[in-house]
Amino acid sequence: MNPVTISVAIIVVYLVVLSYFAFFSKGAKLAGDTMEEFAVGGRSFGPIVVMFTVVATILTGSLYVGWFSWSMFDGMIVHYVVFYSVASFVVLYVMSSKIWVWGRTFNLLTQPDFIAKRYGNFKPLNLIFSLAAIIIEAPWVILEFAVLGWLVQSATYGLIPKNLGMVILVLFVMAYIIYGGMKAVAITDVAQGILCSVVIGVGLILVINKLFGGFSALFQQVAVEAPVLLTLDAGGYYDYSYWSSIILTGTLGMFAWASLYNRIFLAKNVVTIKRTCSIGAVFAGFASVLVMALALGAGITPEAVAAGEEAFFVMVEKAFGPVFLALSAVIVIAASKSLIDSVVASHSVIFTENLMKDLFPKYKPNMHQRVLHSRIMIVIYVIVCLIIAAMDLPNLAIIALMLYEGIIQVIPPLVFGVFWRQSNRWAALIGMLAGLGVAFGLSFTDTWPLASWTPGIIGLVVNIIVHIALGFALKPEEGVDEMFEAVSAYKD
Amino acid sequence: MTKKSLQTIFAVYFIVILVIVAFLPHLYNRPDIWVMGLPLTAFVVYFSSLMLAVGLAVFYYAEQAIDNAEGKEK
Repeated sequence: MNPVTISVAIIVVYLVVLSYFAFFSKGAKLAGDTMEEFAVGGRSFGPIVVMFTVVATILTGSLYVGWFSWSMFDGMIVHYVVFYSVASFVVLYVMSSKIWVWGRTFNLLTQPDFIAKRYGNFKPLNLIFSLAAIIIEAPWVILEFAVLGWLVQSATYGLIPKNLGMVILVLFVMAYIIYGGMKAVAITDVAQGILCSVVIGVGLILVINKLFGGFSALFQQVAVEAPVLLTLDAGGYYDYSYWSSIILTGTLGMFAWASLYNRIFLAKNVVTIKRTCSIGAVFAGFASVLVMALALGAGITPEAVAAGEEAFFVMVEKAFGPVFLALSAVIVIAASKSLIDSVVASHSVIFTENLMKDLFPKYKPNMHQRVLHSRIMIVIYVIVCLIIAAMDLPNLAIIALMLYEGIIQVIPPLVFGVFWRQSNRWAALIGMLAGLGVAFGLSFTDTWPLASWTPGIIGLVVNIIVHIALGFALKPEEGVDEMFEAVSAYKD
Repeated sequence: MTKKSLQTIFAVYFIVILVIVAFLPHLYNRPDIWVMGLPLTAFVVYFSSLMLAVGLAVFYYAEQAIDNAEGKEK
């Protein structure tokens, strides 16, 4: 059969199956027209659903495209992904129990809701976190939009052009978010997770066996043909402090992702969250090892190297032909859509529940209007992102990574807010401003004295010091005892 | 064992692994040394990730066991 026909057929089958889960399955149907149903799925899901939706935050489409080719060229340095994907679940385990309890007790729907509750509804902080949520995640959504279009173009051998493919898939995703909110997002993430477990878990082991004769044999061949790929510094190109920086920012930066809070609030109880993390760490670690190991193998495969960002697809097609190529394309499409749908759903709620209320105090919609306005925001948000993605901005990934220097400054208020009663609004605000000032100030300094420690990390250290100092110097927030007592009193 | 001491043990376990992997790469960035069919660099990154994942699972079940035991006592 013609490879184009195979690819198109597999993508169509995938979309039909996904449509069933998104529009017709019982789990995706909203139980009522309430924000709790729309934004956090009625806090009703078990560990498998929550695990797949949280794993989707880590194993995005970019892993198989940008990060794969980065590892192919620069080797083990990119394997920070393996460690941080596991370490993130440890941090998630520790933090999310309290966040979930507060979410249920105080009916929180978003990350800015948590900040507002924790820091006494302090408007400047509320606004910073609402805007940060959009700034942090929107570039990745736009990137994933572009990845979707580009994937369809590659998988159909150019039959469907990038922008058309992107519009078709994005409109499909938009339709089911409008229909089922986070419930539809969660259910489709499960469908994707199961597919991914088979194709990545089993498929990539077979690919590595077929192309290199096994896992260890792959490393032995890389050691002979391109030993520099097996070093953490790409043969001296990177400093060790860069390795430390990306592990730390990757692990802690996960909590800057506002959409993660919606995923946490999906869980039906604290045990679900904890079980999710204990399973998810193994799953995410295993999948990322396979992808990254194959990327090293791609580094000694000339046709993969020549293909650049398409290297992953070159490798899978080389091993098992067009059918497995199409299946792999579907996996990457599914991974991209898993990031897109939860972020779009989360942002639509942040717009209506946080930004609108903070910017326009007279905005007091009823429950029906809140859900309706969130749905309208989904359409506006998607259209704006589509327009930007269609512009084919080559530097979006770099812009997104640069933004991380500033973005990670939101971490201390989030972490201290969970663990430290003394953390207060001024510590959070002034700490963040100090961290941002240092991070951006150093970004524009030519003579950088601290090797590869990124300015963001230095800013983060300053931020933490200021936060702790002001935490001790000033009074804690008034409602903080009530929050911590709610955690102590909680029983599953 | 109390829940607090279990949490402390796991916190130390996590920090030790994090420090080794994130802050001491110069100790294990040795692709010329091979361990169990892998260069040391890859072995440390993969094995420490595995140990962290397994440790988290053990911690979860131990915490549940303590919770259940406390529930029965009450």
